[in-house]
Amino acid sequence: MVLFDLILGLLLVVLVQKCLSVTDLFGAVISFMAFGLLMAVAWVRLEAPDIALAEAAIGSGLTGALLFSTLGRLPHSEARQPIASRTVGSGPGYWLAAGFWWVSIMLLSVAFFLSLLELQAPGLGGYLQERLSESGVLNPVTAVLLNFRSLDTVMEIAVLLLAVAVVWSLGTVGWPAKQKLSLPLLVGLVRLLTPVFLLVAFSLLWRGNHAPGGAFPSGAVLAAASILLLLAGKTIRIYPLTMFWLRWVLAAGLLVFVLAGMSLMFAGYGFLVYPEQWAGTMILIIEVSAGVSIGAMLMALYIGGEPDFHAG
Amino acid sequence: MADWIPVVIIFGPLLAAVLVFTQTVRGVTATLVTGGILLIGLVALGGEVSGQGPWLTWQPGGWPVPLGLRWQADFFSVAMLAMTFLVAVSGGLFAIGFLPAAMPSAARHFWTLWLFTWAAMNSLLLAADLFNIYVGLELMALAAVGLISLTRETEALQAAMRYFLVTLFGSMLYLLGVALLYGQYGMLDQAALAAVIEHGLANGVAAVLMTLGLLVKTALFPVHFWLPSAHGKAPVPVSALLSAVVVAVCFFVMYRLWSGLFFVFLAERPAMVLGAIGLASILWGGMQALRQQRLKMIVAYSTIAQFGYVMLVFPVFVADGAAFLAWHGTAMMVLAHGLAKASLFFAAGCLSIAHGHDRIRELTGGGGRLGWVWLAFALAAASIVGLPPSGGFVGKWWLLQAAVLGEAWFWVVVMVLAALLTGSYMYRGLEAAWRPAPPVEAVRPVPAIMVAVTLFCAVGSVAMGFLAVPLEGFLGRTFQPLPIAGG
Repeated sequence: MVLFDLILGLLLVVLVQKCLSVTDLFGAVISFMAFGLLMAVAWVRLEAPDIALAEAAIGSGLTGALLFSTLGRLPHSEARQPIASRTVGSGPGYWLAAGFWWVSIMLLSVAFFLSLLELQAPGLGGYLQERLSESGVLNPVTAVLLNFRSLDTVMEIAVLLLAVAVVWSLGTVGWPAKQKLSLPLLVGLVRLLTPVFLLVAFSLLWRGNHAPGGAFPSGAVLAAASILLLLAGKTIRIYPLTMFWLRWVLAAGLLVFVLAGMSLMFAGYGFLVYPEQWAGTMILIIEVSAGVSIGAMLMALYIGGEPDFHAG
Repeated sequence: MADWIPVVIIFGPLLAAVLVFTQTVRGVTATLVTGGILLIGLVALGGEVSGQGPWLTWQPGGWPVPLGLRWQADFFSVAMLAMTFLVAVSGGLFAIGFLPAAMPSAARHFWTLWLFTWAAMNSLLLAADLFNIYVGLELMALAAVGLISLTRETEALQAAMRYFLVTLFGSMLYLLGVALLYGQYGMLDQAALAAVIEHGLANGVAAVLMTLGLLVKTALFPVHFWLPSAHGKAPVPVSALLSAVVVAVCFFVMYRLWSGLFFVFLAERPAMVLGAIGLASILWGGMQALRQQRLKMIVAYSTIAQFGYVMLVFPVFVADGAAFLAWHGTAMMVLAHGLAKASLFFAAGCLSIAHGHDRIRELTGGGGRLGWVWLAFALAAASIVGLPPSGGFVGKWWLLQAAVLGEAWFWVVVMVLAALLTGSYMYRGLEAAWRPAPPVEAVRPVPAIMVAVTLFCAVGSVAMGFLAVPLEGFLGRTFQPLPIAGG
């Protein structure tokens, strides 16, 4: 296994190098996705299956889809053209600054790696196991994300919603989106796969209670299913009322989480303090709404821009 | 302890943002109602801190540290929250006049992003957990990027993209440092870590990485380069919020780290390095401000110089003359700078609406509303320069006093020179006010609400000087440089 890990680590470095040095953007995206997949394998080797799931689904899959959709928007020549090597600067001032940064970054990196050697890595595993039974779930990762450090998770969902708001503020896309691929097999495949995707998303959500899974991977699978539908040309017509519902679905995850926290506070338990016998149920409700919202938000990011049904 | 206070302060603006996003509530209404609710929250928080201070702490989620996370507040947090409140509400009022005139199509998105930024700033001012701070920094940065790019002009988009990449780089550095600390102690709470941290390579590297990350976000030399274009090209209310508060919040996080968690490292040499960064920022920001042709760019560059000035607290503090006075002076400077800087940006915005541009050579004085704008500009500039009796003066005076008492003569000279430099570039902007006014019909009317807000912020930053005595009493009573672990 040592050999396997060694090869894995080496491949990761090679892929990063390739991703950064390759001259066409298309190649860079491919290397980046391959890097994400191998990174997921590395997380499995580090016995962190939750992170592996997230890395594969979001880090490689969805980010890859986002990058491809960006490439699709660039003028065709630009996406395939080699990135022009620009001269950033010249003259003694430039070299002085560049030298200064190079030396500082090198020194900092060396110090960083040396300090990794002296880490004691106690972690929080001990505390976690002690209190896990009070958290309402059996999977320690879910317990941390949805109970012990739920505040972080609320804010992360807020970051995702904010990302959608920022993308929408940048412009609109005509609807129905013209992203259909003309692959004859795709429609049939999608017809076959969509129920499977839904099942997987639901099972990931349900498993989150006792095994790796939860709202983020589940949302990513939902988003993947919707992207495939979109590529197969199975889009819905959008009316003003649809936009109304879409906005609420996007916001639901954050709203349910925050309002649950606040109602617990007004009920006398404290903000986001779940009473022990209800903890499991509350976490499930929050996870389901968050999962659906995350799916919708990732989908919205992929579409890029506020759907403009007038243009369609 | 009143549990609802931090929840309202952080999640009030966040819920408002979501309601505006879903188009349930209009942006202006949401912002003003949030302001009203937050005012109650802030008054209650001020009462709690002065009654039960110096430190208040809460446990959202109800789990004890190290498993759960904490919010914390002392008098400085309350003062920063109040300054954030004032600038966010003033900026909102300013935007009521500004948006229809300057960017009607972006108005809908403006309010969502504005409220998101507000929530993120409030959460950073209360967070005690290092990872929670990271999430807050991400939220704030992303919202700021959205706000900068609202005009969709090429220059603004480029500035926003550059800010996005640079600030993400800063976040990564910060997160690397946090990971090192977590790997060392298995904890993320600032106070809990402060109690156990010792000298060592990993901790030292963590301190360097986290400080560097925050220096990038505070835009200090040599990692300042993104600020002038980002703050200069953004819509006016956004520039005000970014320069007055967002940058100050990043400094606040750095200040919290160095007065608590990294306090053991605050020896002579690190303090000198931080001071040198401040000195370089003062010189660079000041010299560049002197060379600018546009009023808004002068104001943007002055942010770099002024936060350079604020960094001088570290060398003055270790000079050990009157350490507390140095902290108080810094707090006062950051607060007064916030209001004054907001007012300067507002004034530049009013002038560019009136004249159609903000090129200093072609700006003129004028009567009526423009006269009030120039008055506001002069007052705010006086506070930035540090003329008595403004808030800026009190802050700089306290810091100078601390330096004299500590016999840190080099830094005394730096401060005096910095004041001269600030005076010079501020005067360059102000000079235009003396030019004879053009005929009335050549000047476009400025909405009254914009002028009123500009004047309000300027008067506020000067009036803070008159509050110096009660403020120092407050600071002296409740302001401890070392957070005491609680809860």
